[in-house]
Amino acid sequence: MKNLQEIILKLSSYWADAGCLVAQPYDVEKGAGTFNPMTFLKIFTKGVWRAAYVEPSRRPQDGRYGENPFRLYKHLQFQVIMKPAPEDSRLLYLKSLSTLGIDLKKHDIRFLEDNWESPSLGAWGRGWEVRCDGLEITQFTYFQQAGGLDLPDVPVELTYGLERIAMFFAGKKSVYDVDWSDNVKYGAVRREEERQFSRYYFELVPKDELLEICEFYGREIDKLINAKLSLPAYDCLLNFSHLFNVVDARGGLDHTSRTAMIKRMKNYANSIAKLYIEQTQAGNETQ
Amino acid sequence: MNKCDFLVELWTEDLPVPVQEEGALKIESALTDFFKRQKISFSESKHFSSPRRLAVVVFNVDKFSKPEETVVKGPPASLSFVENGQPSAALKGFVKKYAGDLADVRVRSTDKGEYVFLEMRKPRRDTEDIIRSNIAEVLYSVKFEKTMRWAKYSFPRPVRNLVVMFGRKSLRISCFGINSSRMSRGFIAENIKITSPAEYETNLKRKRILADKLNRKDTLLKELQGAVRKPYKIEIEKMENLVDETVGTCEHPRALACDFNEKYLDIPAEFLESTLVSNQKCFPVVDAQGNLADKFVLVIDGDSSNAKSVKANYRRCVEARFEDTAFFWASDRKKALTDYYDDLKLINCQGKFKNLYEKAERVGKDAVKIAREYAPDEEKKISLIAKLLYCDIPTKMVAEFPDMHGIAGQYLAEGTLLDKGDKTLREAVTLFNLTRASSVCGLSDRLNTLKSFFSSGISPTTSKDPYGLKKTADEVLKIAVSSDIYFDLRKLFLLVFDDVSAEVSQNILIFLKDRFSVYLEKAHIGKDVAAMAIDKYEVPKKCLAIADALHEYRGEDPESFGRIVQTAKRADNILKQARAKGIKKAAVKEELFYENEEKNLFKELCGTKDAVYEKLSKNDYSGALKDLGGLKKPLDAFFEKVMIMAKDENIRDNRLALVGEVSVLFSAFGKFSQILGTSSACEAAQTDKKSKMQ
Repeated sequence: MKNLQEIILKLSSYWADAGCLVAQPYDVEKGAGTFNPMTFLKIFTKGVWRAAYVEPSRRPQDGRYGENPFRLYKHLQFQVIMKPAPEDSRLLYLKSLSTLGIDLKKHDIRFLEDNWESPSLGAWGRGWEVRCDGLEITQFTYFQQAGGLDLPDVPVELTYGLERIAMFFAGKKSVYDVDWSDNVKYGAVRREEERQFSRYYFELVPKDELLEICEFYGREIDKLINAKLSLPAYDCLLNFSHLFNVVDARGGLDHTSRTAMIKRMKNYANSIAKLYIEQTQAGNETQ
Repeated sequence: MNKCDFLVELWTEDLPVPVQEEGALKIESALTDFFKRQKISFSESKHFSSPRRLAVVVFNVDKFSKPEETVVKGPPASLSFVENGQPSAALKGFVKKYAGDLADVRVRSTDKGEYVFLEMRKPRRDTEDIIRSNIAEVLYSVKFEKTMRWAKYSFPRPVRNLVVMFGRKSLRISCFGINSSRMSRGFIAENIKITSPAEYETNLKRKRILADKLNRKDTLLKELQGAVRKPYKIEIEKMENLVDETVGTCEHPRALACDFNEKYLDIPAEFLESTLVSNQKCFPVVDAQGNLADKFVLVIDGDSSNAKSVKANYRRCVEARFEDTAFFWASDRKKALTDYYDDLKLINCQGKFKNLYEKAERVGKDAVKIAREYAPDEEKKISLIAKLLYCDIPTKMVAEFPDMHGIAGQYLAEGTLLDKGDKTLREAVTLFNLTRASSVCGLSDRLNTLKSFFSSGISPTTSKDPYGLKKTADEVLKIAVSSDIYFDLRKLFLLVFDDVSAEVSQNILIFLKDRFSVYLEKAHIGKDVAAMAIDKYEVPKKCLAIADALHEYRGEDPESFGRIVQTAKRADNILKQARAKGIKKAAVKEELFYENEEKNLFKELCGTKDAVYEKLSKNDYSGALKDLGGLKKPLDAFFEKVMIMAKDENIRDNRLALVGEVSVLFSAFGKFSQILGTSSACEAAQTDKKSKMQ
């Protein structure tokens, strides 16, 4: 019986052995681990890049006031990024499940076609959602494009849903009953946060003000790109994207403005990626 | 033994379901075409497809290609040689052009004197060598619409292992960055030794892998049948898509039955089924009455030795999903359906209408107009329902399961707006079991969708149809042919399209006609019958019935059908010639008939005309057509005995007028001129039968 922190420890050490840098979550709110610069920006560098890290991912729309046993506004992703994708990516992944104690011969592991896409990052790939006995535990993607640019060395991204995997091991019906450690439950750590943030996101968010802040970040991105500061510009994009998700969850955007904002983020991502490539390939970044 | 079987297997990361069979077929035809091009004979081939393998076995492949001989005629011998018999520039040029060798040049005498011939012999070659040096190119030549890149390669998913065997021997080939061997792979990339191409299938079967798709499907269907005991069952005929998807996601299907907590049965069955099927890829189970039971069947890939724990895990997933469904539904039900009407203002629309609210208002008004024309007794219900069709779109349930649009609305309306069991609202959206009221509401909705896009200058092209307008048009036609009501498109257009220009309205009409042609062509009634009947497209239900009657008539009595067609064409030709000569149309005057045959034809025509129109008005198309067939005799006699182009212009014009009336009557069934001649008509009917059987 594995608890959440054991799963994180096992995965970290497994992927460290596979040559990944064990990195840290990036401290700006984001919707998915892909947005951490360890993935989105590092995949634009030359040569080999391998990293693994836990990323808290916020999707305000999935908030359920801590009442739903399954859905959370914030969940934990364990993210692995390897560029170029090793030839045995699939096997490496399956072995990571064995390491966690899933007997591959005794459980129903299925790869269902799911072509991941992040329109606001101009990123998409081909891949699968991996299910174990009917439970979706991982998103497995070979990136094809990011920031609207073709990726010459195709990376593989693995995103494990940590709560899901913990639920699988614990045989629990509710995520809140999962053991974080031997003596602390997931609910004790997170339930109140889910309650309060669901209320905030669904009921109290000042959507017009947040949209104004989005505009502010938009202006900053333009300014920072001109100043050739790709990393601070990227931070602004992360903020923009999170606020957009918050306003969107509140139902505050009609179809046209929603599409327009996604397009804007995609353009920012494209400019930032290009600037970043220009800088790293000129050798300006300390590797 | 001069023959061997040949095997290629590409082991890939899990392929999307639709490309599995497509990919295997493409590889099969690339390989067999290749052998044919290389003059290597074989007996037959078989393809295999699964989520992780595309394989082809070609049987009895000759170990050698056929020797080939090519003879090309060159310049005259006199121009081909200089002194000492040395080749001339002309000869050298000729040999070079055909990449030949001077040693293969022969001089032969022909009727026109002596000429030079290049006689090239390609000796037989080792099939094995040919395969070794070409097979990679053949595999790379297989193209797919949707691919991905990895390393330097591209394919629908990465290819990770390659088996190439000729007889019992494995051939070393390098392709997709892989060196081929005789080792195939299992799920976790474990090796599986292939002993020979002929034993490929059994080698894999021993490792619980069913490489043949049909075999896998049979196994799955048997498993599903065996999984639940009577009176419970899986409604397998409704589950075709899930069956195909499941066959494409496992190599060894095993079905297990599982229960869920019966408390979830309080949620409408459609929602639970949708959750089970779309989210969990499980098969719903119904009881003897056809009601959803608290059970489902899951399918696993491989071994069922750990069934108990796998089932428990699946059950937890299913119940957690149901919990979410219950959450959506409970929150949606806090409001009545009509309370969502104002929320439609928040949902923007593409095209003419600013938002769904505006569209709903219009759909409501138009439905009432259509109702007054076609279903006045249902007007009250229609006016209540039509504008509420979109009200469930803002619900959480529909946001989560778009398929539930219409069904969610139905449940929200039942017991308040609609009597329990009245499915008008849902049918108007889903178009199952259409009633008069639901056809009217459904039509008003679809016609307004077409109007909205066409009037904003958005219309689909052959390749681009981003708003699914072809589907919308097909739905209009589906309603028009399957409802009890004989809707007339022109009449509907007058009612619904009064706020757009005549041009837009005409464009939509043409679009619907084109879609209906496609529909008729797919209806297995023969392309020519379809082309004939489309003339009557304005009332699609009538048009379809005429087409069916024509097709049926041709099937039952091809001879008289052929004769009717000939007669109709003959009448048309005569009229065409007369028009070409500038002869004006006259009215039939009985007193101008002289010959018995024309008098008789006129008499018969008058009687038949009444009978035909009477039957047409009662929608008895087969009967009308048979009556029309009765004209055959007097018409034949008329054409045989009566000189139409008589010298006396009055008599001539009167006879032409008679033929004109015949032609008008025939045209009540469409354009007979579209029907192919007797022999080709038989062919058309036969190919049609074939396509029906397929």
